[in-house]
Amino acid sequence: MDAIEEKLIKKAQKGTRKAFEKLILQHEDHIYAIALKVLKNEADAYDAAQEICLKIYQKIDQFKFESAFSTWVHRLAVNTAIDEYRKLKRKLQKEYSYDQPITEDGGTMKDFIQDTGDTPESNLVRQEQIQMVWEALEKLKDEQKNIIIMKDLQGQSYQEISESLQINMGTVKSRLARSRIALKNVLQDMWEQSNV
Amino acid sequence: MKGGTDMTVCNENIKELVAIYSTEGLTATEQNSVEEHIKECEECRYEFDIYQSIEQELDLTKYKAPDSLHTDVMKRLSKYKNLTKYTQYQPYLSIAAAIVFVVFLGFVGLMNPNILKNSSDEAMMVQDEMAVQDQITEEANNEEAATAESYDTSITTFDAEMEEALEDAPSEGAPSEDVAPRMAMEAQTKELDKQESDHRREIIIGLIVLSVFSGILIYRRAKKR
Repeated sequence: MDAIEEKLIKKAQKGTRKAFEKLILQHEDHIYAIALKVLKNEADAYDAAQEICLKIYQKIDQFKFESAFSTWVHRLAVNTAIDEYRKLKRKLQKEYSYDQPITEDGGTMKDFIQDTGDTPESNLVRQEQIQMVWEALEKLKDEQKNIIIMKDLQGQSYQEISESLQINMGTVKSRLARSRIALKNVLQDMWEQSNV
Repeated sequence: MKGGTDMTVCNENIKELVAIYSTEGLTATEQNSVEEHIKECEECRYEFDIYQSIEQELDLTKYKAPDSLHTDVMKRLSKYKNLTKYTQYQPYLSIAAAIVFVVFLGFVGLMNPNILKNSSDEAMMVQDEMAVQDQITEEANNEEAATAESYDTSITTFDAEMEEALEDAPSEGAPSEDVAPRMAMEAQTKELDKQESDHRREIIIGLIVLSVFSGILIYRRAKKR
């Protein structure tokens, strides 16, 4: 965390709206992208992104500088987006239930890898699978999650991550590999549990 | 498929390389090792596919928020109060302030004699009457004292005069004509004091009810913000 960001966070925590505005501007793309990834719909993602920003504003004084601000924002964004997704899903299920029941069976990992088609049912199954990646990410240790956020979500280079975390390139590489393996394992466990 | 040459051996090392194959972190040799390995190992090929899908899902770099998002967020924020630590406790502070204010007003009211004017006036009238009665009794006592003094001047006429004095004095145990109205007035004063006390209690209960009610209203309003 750089000094400018820290200063902005502290000012925002004291209620300075201008500071919050500068701060949130740096994270809006990330927030919107998460909302879009989880909700798979631009209009829903737009609404959810607004809710996420407001939630960050309301909860910013709970940020204790124990992690990177971007990680904290990311966590809040994913959780809020998943909540919004569940609300929409419940609504959708209610609408569908008049025609045909939708099973909770999420299918197999193969369904996740290969698109299962365009029927409403298969789309819903695929959305469920995709959403699980975000949930699985939240179950990782902070150290693992951070490096995946930096590399996969934000697209930072090994060099940038190395400088930011102050670890050498070899460590970045091995940590990223182990974190990705952990993410895949968590995801597989979630799939197994959902198919019981 | 496990076994074969070193390149196709399925171990932790090759699995780690498979996990980060698509990143720029592998050397040319490592990339070749992975490519050769996944041709032979079905399990690693399957995992490779999973990593590709995860990576595709998690990649947020190509998304950009619409410009209107920032404007809309700031518009909505302008309706919010600044959320400092003070504002977090604002509902509770409001209740405390309301209670203190109402209690203060109540005490100011109690200290103001006009609030209890009626009962105070009646009490004053009774006290005036009692004062007049006290004065009359005192004058009578003074006269008796003066008479007794004159009796002392002559020892020889003491018995006769004492006899006379005893005849004039009221008999012991029977209330004098002055004591009965005084007792009635004291009873009336006590009654008035009781009424005043009841009146004060009613005012205090009213103030407590009012302060609780206003506190709830202020709390609900502050919570809505």
